[in-house]
Order: sequence, then C-alpha cells, then structure tokens
Amino acid sequence: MNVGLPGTGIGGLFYLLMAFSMPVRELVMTMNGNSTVPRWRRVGSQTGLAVTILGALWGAAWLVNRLFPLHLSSPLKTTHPQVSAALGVTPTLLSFITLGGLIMVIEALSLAAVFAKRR
Amino acid sequence: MQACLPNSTQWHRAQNLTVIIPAYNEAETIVDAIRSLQLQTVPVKEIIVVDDCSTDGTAEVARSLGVSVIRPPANTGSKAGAQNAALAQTQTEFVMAIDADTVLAPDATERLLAAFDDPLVAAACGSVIPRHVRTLWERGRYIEYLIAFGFYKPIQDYYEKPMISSGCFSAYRTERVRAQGGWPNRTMAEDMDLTWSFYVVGARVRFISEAVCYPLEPHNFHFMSKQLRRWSHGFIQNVRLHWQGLLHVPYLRSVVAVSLWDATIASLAFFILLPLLGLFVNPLFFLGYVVDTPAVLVPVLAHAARRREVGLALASIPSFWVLRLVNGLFFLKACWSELIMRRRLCVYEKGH
Repeated sequence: MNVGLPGTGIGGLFYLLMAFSMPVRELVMTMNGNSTVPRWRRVGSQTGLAVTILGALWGAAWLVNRLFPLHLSSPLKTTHPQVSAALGVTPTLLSFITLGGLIMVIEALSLAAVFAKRR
Repeated sequence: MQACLPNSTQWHRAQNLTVIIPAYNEAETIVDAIRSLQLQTVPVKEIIVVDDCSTDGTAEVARSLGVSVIRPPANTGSKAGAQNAALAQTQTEFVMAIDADTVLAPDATERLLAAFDDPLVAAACGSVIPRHVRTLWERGRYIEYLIAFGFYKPIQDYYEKPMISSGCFSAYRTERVRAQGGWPNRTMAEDMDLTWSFYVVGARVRFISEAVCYPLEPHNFHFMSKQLRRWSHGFIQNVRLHWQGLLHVPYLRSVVAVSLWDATIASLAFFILLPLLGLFVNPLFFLGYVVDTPAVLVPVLAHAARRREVGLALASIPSFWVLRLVNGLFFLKACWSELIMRRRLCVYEKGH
C-alpha cells in the first residue's frame, strides 16, 4: 500500500540515511553479540543499494550540468557567484533541514507525550 | 539428488494454521488462490472462504475445490467484517489472511511462518508482486512494489517496524488478533490499523521478503481510482486514529511522519510549485518531475534483476511516473475530504 508520491521528497532521503545507519547499528549489535551473518548480508545489500543510489544521483546531476550548463548557471555566475553556488546546494540542504526539522518535531512531541502520560 | 524438504517446524506450524479468504463475487479469481494454497510446500490445516453474499457462485466454486465455506447472513460491508466472520470459527494457533485474487509462491507459507520463531511476533507479511504487468496501471504498480519491497520495507524490517503488514498476504497469531477485537473495520485500511495497533501494545511485526505473493492489481483507471481512494483515505484515517499511540513507537513515528509529509507537501510541490517555477523562472525546473529517476531506477533494477525482469522494469518506468502523479492527486483529494470538509469515506469498494 503506497500513498502520495512514492520515491520523491524527503522520504527518499530518510531511507538513504536509514540505510547508511544500518552498518553502524549492526556493528554495535555485533559487539554486543547480537548479530549474525545473514543480518550482515541484509545490511550489506541495503547499504550497497544506498551507495549506488547516491552514485546514480551524483551522476545524473553531473550529466544535467554538462548538458545544460548555460541555462542553469551562466546568468547568475556572471553577476552573483555566491548565489549560483547556493542554488546548487540549496535543494539538498533544504531537504536535510526539512527532514531534520520534522524528525525533531516528532521526537519533541513524543517526549511531551511521555511527560503528559507521567502526570 | 536430494529433494528439498520443508522445515519441520514450519510444517507443524502450518498444521496449526487456518487461512481465511474473504470473497465477494470472486468466482473467476478464487480458483487460483485456493489452488496455490493447496500446493504449498507445507500443507495448511484449514482454508476458509468467507462468501460475503456473492451473486456469482463464488461459494460453489470454492466448495468444489474442497475448502470450507461460510456465508454470513448479510453482506458484512468490508473485508475486515468478512475476515472476522471466519475468525470466530478459527481454532488454530495461527491465522493467515489472503485476498481472493492473490496467488502465493509455492514456498510462501513456509517462509512466512518462520517469522514466528520469535514469540513476540504477532504478524508477518511477505513481498507483493503484481501477477500481471500489462496495462499502464499494472506497470506503474509493479515499479512501486519493486521499490517498496526491495528497498523501503527491508529497511523498515531491519529497524523492526514494517509500516504495514499487507492485507493481501499476512499471517498472525490468532490470540493476538482476537485480543485486538479481530480485524478492525473503523478505517478503510484494516491492515494498517491492525499493524499499528500491534505496535502500540508492544507486539512485533516482521516482513519476510522471500515469502512472495502475486495479487491481481487494478488493470484500468476505474478500479485503480477505487483502490487509491480507499488507500489514501485509509492512511489519513489511521493517522488520525493512532497518532497519539504512534508517538510512543520509536522509528515508526518517523516513518509515518515522513510518509505523511511526502504525501501532502511533495504532492503540493509537484502540482503547484514545480509548474510555477517551470513556467515563470526556468523551464528546466520541469526536470523536477523526473530528477529522482536514478534514485528510483537503482532499487527497481536491483530487484528486477533478481527476478530476471530488467526489460519489463525499464519499460514500466514511464507508467510509474503517471501512477505517482495520480497517486498524489488522490491523496490531496482525500486530505481535502477527510480533514477540511470532514467527509469521511465509509464505504468499502473493491479495487478490482
């Protein structure tokens, strides 16, 4: 069951970050004696996918910049180089800020819910 | 050459398993579902078809295949209602629910039951792949499932919180379902409701990627619209119903929040922001509609390669772009209806 727009927005970023966190979590579990080879295989598979996705996105961005260099950056580059740089970074940064903000709000709400329950 | 024998633990579990198939006018599709169950590597104790007052001879077809059939005195009005009618007669430790249009891989039950090695597991679900991938809608759904069951759901399972134990193919501990009062019919997505209810009481849910089922997906817009409407409304209804409980469930609360954000804000950006930027700032902003294609392609092709369906997956990508736009529209419409107009969807309509 999927709702909305699967594959887009901060959801993709969220799952990428989760996939990159898997080896760290598994390492901790291994040190505590709670890991197994099949678990590591699964971690390797999902993290490998995440690395490939990141590579593919970088490759696509590189290709777009090569194909449309003038359209996107020239007018800004000549007048405001900082603005041009910001434009390249902004979407990624915005996604991170949005995701981080959302997670923080959810965690704050859950803390508030815990306190409310204790009272 | 040694034959591949089923695991004896799973064999015994299957002998303690009742399969419930809710059915309303499914005479054409239920034969394949029942036969696939009868050909499982581990034979199940009982198969119960709930003929929800069909008019096409579903009950007769099911009986001719040697399974139990029960018929409520009146149409129950929902899948959950039909399943509960059979739950009352279930005497086994485990219960499995599958849709009447769904066929299981021969080893699906055996693999799924392995999840119950953990006594805290209340429910387990498997991977879903459309049985037919021919029309635009089936192709779009095929790509959606390759992403969801190849990338998202294994990650959710790793963090021990699959977002939903899919209603088309899931197994449960019977007592756990009974403790929840059966399958709830207070929302349009009874499977999501039950899954989240399990998490709230501390039970575990597992996703077993190797247990595969093949449902019939909506083949045209008419049926797809019914299904998308039900799913979108069901998601919103469940968030409204469970949000306080979900706040106490780590990881799942983030998954749900991110899904809700993307379904609403990303949809609005798709339909309002991108066209405005493309028209008034730079036409290259229209690339935003396909800019994430690499992120979609990687998990899709990886999953498709394992199934030797790379060509089919590549040919289906354009259909996915169409389906996700339609999906976004239906979700926004559902938000408007449920949250702004306070018009709740209460009528369950089949999606095929």
